[in-house]
Amino acid sequence: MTDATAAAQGPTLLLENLSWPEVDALRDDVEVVLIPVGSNEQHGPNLTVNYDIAHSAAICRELSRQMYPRVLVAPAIPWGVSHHHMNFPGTITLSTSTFIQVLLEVVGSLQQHGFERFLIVNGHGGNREPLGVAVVDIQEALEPTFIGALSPWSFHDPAAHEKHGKTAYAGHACEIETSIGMHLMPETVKQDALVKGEMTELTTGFGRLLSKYSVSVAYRFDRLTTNGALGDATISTVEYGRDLVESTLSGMEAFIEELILNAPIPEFADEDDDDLLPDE
Amino acid sequence: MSDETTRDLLLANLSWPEVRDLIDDVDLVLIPVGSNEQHGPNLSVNFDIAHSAEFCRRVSERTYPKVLVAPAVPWGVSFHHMNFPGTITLSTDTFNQVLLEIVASLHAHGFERFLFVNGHGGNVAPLGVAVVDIQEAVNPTFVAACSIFNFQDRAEVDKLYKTTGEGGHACERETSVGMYLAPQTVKTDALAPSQMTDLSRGFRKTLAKYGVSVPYRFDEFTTDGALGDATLSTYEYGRDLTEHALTNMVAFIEELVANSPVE
Repeated sequence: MTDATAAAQGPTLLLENLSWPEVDALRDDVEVVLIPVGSNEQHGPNLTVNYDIAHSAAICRELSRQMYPRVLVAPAIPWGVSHHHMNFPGTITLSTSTFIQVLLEVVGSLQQHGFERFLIVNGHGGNREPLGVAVVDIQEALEPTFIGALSPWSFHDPAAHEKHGKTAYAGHACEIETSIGMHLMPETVKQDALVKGEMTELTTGFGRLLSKYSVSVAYRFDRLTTNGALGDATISTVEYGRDLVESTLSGMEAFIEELILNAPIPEFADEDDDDLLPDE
Repeated sequence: MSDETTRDLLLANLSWPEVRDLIDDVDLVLIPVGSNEQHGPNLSVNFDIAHSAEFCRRVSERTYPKVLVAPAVPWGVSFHHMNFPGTITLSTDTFNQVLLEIVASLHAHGFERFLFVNGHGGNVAPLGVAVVDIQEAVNPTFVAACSIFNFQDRAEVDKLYKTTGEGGHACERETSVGMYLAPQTVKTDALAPSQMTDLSRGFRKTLAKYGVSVPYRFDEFTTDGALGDATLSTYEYGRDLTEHALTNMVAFIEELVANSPVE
């Protein structure tokens, strides 16, 4: 039993565990469908390759518990866009166009069953720009009442980073991710293998300028770190992970409530059918 | 330009032998991208691309002859502005395919470093995808995408001028930049405060705070297509934003070249 799930109480709402009559019965109670996305990619010696998707799936699962039965979690998508990690074995990547097509068809399927608000919850930095494209394509093709995409780390409490001593170059397979893993998905943490990132001069030099100006560059990750990790996983703690996850879950719950208020579902107006009749 | 100190370097103006002779001098090719989309009553629909094209031209003046400017791409990804007449949008697939073929063409001629210089927020996510696809397909020494608005030192410059803090499109910032850099884009007699909706003043700010991507149509944010208050615009505000961005960009390009040796 993990630290997080040991503390958690109450049922979750995961589509994969439901029968179709159960889905049919809860349609009117469900206000938002969460779709966990992440990656299957190297995370240094510190974490399993499924870390990102395990993370977003766990965040979504806990939100479904907190907001039961108003938030339904779709099955997690196992792969993301990870070309930049392909020089490390174990990484599987989709192209952006395939990734977007999968998302579009997942939303299209559930929309046919009457779900109208969708929020993609992303655990992998490399998916962010593909998701920015995906929501536009999905809106144009399907016009659900609401489609959005976000990443849980946008909800991290900055005070937690200060309190627990985040290093300057955290961001992948680092103390942030490993601490979250320790708290929320300990099966992803290679506890006996934790090491510092072996970062290159590109990361500590020009990379800072790229961050400052938000410049998009498709560097392969072995140019940034020889062991695939950034930051320093050896300073990771369960407490750091708990602070990050708790601020994320409370922030995301408040965000989802605001989303629902701001995305009213249009009622079916039968009168509109009159427009199809000839004028009298 | 006749003055030797202000020569620019635009591909569109060169003959092929001239291009052949300068390939070895050119360290970087800039590709201006933007949009053809509504900018409220305040600015012409070509504002974004006029802005990035002129910005790139000025970068080429300051770095002559090391930075070559490719022809500007007239259209971007602007579905969210389609409820206002005059907007033309490409799909992301088409936009990215155009960018890939531009880089592939110039790469075939021997250019090795490419930087997209973007003037339109709606292109940011497509460009992030484009650079990955181009790297995978063309594999130049360097390809990247940046947006001019990240180089403007806004936090510093905004302190010196009256702003609404609610800008972002056809606002006091863009109109001021237009006054300085592309005055032909500014509808001086039509400048008006924007007509922002409750959604724009409320939930839009939450979305921005958490970096949430949502494809709202722009008429849900503002009934006249603008944000902020273009009547606050001044030439001086536009000059300061632009000069900061030019200085930062030139310094960035020097580091870029130093950090991407051509093999």
